Amino acid sequence: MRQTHYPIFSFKTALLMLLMATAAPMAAQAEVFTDVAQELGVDFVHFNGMSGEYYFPEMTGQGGALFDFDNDGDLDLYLVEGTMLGMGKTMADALFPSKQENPGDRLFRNDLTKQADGSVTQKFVDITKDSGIVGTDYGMGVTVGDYNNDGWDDLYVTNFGANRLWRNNGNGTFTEQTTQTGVTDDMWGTSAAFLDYDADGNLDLYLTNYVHFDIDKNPACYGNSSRRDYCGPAAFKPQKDRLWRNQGNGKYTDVTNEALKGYKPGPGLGVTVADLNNDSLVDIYVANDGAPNQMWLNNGDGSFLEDALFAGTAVNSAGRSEASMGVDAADFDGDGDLDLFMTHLMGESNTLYVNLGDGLFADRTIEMGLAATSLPYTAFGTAWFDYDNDGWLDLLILNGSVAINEALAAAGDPYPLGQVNQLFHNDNGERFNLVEAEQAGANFKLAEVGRGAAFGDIDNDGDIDVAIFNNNGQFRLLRNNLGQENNWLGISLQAKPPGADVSRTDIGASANVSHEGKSIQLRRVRVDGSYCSANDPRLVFALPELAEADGILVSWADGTQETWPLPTLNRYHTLVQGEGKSVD
Amino acid sequence: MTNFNKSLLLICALIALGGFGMSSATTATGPSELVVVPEVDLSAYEPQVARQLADARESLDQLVGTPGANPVNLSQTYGTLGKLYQAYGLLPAAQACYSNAGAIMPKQLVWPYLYAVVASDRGRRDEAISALKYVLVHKEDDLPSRIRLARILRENGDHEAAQEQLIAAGGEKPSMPVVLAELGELALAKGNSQEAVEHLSYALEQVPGANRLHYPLAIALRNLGKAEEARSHMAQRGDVGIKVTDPYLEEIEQLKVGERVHLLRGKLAYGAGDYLAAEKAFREAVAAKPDSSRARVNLGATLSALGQAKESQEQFAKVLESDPDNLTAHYNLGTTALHEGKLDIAAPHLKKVVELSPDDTEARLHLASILIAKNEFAAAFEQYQETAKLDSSSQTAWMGMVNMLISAEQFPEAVAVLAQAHQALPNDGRIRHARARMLAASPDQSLRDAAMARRLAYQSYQEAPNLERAYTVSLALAESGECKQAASFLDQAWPKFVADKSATPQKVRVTVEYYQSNSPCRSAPVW
Repeated sequence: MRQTHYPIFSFKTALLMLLMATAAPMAAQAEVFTDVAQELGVDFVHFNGMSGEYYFPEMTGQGGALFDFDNDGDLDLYLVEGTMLGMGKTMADALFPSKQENPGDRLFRNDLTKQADGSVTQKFVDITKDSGIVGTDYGMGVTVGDYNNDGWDDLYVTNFGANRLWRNNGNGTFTEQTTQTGVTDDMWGTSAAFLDYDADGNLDLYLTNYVHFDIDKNPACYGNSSRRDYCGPAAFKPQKDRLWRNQGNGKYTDVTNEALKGYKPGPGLGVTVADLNNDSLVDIYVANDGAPNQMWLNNGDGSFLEDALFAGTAVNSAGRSEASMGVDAADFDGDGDLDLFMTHLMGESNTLYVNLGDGLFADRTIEMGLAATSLPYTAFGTAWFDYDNDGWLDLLILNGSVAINEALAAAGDPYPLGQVNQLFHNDNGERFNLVEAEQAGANFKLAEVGRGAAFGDIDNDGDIDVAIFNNNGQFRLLRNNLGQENNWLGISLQAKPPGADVSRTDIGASANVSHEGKSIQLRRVRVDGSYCSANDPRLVFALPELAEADGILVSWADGTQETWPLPTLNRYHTLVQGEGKSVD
Repeated sequence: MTNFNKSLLLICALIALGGFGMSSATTATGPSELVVVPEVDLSAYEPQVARQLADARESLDQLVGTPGANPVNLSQTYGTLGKLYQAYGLLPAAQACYSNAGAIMPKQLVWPYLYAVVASDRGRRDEAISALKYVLVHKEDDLPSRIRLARILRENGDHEAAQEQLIAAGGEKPSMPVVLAELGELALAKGNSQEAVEHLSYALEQVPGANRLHYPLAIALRNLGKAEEARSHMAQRGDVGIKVTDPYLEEIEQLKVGERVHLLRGKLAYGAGDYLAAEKAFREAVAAKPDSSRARVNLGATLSALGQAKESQEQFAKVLESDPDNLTAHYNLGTTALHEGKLDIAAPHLKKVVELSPDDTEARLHLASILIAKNEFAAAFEQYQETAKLDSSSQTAWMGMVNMLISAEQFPEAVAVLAQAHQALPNDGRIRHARARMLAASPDQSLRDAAMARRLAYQSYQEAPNLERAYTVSLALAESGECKQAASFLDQAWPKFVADKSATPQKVRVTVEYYQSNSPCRSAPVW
């Protein structure tokens, strides 16, 4: 049987492939990523509670977190779970019954041990029951931050319904503190991020909310083919996001109206908090689904000004709003400022906005090779990370449709939304090239419903691994087999807020590895970004640039700067604010 | 690339082009070499659509099974089925059909063209480019193909090739708006902002309604440092671009059947303000499915927009006969009756909406205005109060409460509500001004707060200077005991607002004179 291509082109393509194969025979290479979730003890299949009613939230979630809840120096894992959707529905109504008896969020402790001979043993242990966390809401996402400055990372879990703040007690248990702290919200929360926008040493919180969807008034939507399908965000009113200011006394105040001047709700799915205009103040970028994105520029007086349209980051180069889902901010081109990348719906390209250095951006998606490759996919979780430790930040993109794929439906797929994920290699900040699935890993051949992704070094070997949260699918933990072959430097940036006895991760800080004072690589401490997920906040720098590096310049979240001499390579170091050499 | 490789590529391309012609010699190779058209599962489709697709597929299957079938008929049948598949978004099947239709009749350029459209929509740009090039080899002046090819090449980052296509379409000095628009966006992509401004401005000059072009034009102006001009164009941006007339795609759009297609078409027309076209589409939707509440509700809304209130209300009433809890029908009946002043008809429908959908703030606000008109003040106040609880950004709800409290001379309560409203909407000028006025000149003088009134009054005047707000500033100054300043401020301000009808010159003069001749001067004349 021939392919469904136009005859002439398949012939041409075949000849071209033959030529390429003749001209550049490729050496056999090990795959970059291997799924080790089950091998390491995490056998988790997400439950989305669907019962054939096409409830919008069921195909929208979910994410998870990589974070060190017990401060033992390795990344633990938090998995967000769904539950049965719909009034009166029971598990008997579920099209894909849960593999858990009582579906709920899960916390896994990473037991990573390095033996004397340098070998490593590792397993993840489900400690949900002992942790005190009862996450039986309809989960969407999670973010991480030490809101009470006690040195232990806390969790803020977003739900389709009431969100939860779980305080880390520092003894392996968590206690819910949502109402006590005042960060209650019972809308449809998606991504959230802690940030210290007023530089007072206390972590504030930004929450993106999506749309007003009432499960009891589920409208019927239809695809082009006239088939019943999921509704899109345009069928509903957008919900209001929230910005809470941490008062420093364990309580938060909702400052959305006061701080975000002229705020108008958008259907928010993603958020990243980073200094986007190089003024040493953390800004907020919100990815909206089908509406212009918002870029809240920090005025430095407790207020923000939204100026995405002029900055060139609200809509694509054609002036069209896109269905933004996941987002990340990083310096992919090594020019010392933060660029933006966001993922979109099938038929739209993902979009890369290059920072021109003055807070103005240019859509350079096409030039960077990221347009055509993304058109057939609907993309969610993503991040810039250097998978091969060559000093340039690559991209991983999770795909999964939000509308029924007719071909899959015709083939009898009961949940026909699956798509393959994509890994892109950054060629010296000049172009991204798709890494073939054969090279990227077997997981990249699987058509799954990718949503959240969390990025972090789960085995502390200096390369970044990836946790993949599939909707109504198997959780994947992709171990990076490649990056650790190069030299690297891991840094944890810890601030000591005023009045605090201990230090905590300084979300919003950044570090430059430098040579004779000139920046070589910029990395920011980020938990935020991706989609509904929380990343490892540690920084990893890579060779070859480090060969000539001689120092590190740290820009703390409060705007101060310090330098350190370059520490020993190929291990993680902790730099604590106040212990470096101050920069005037 | 080596010369050797370049030569090989060229040969490949030539073979490929020749191959299309040859592979189309259906009689030589036979239909067995055609690509397989994927099966489509029609079971979940709207019955009319499923029937339409099944009939077309059956026609094809019969023809394919007929020995010695006429290739013209066969190509046409593949193409017809392809168009239907394309119309319903079944793109892989459509692409396969067009591939076969074109393979059988290679000189019918409509098939490679539609093949390219579908390939492009599927993100298969290389296939689209090849097919469009094939069309243009055989028909150089095919503008839709040329423009589509240029656009795909630009979006692929192949700027030089895109430029070549646009020059081929419009010559060295193009004047066609669509070519200018494409050239403008191409120039912007190439980093030539000045050239982009020239092309895009010229295109917009010719087609002012193409508001999508304002955005790339704004970005080009921004890049040139012309921030104000850029912001002005950004404010005008929209979604309407410049289209090339494309009868093939228009025909495909017309192939769709079923209630939802007409509904969609009607909604698009309604959104564009073309109510006559919307009415036609919604009537077709009703005809396709007479018991469809959605079709009738939309028809009713369109008739209302056309001023046909009676027939509009009949449609809503018909919906309620079979669907008594239909919120939209109740809401629309309520608001159309309200518009006509028929409060007794409007009220029960809006009450029903509020009962069935308690968070419908718009219905609550309409209901409140009816209740006020019927002197049911407590009930009206309750609606405003609930609305403000549900949506703290509703200025109408806050001001509704305030006005009712002032009318009832409940001044302390009015001051308290204004404080809440101001907290909820700190940037709302109307609320800020109302609060300033209340704090400056509340009939209950114990509620006045001169300092805060001054601050708020000045702020609201600076935001939106007008006579009313100037008067409030003067009242706040008067409350502070600064009578001369109050007089001077109002005296200097009012000539700027001579056209403002909120007070006559006589009233202003009397007020100024009052400030000049009294100290304290807290009881200025009320306008």
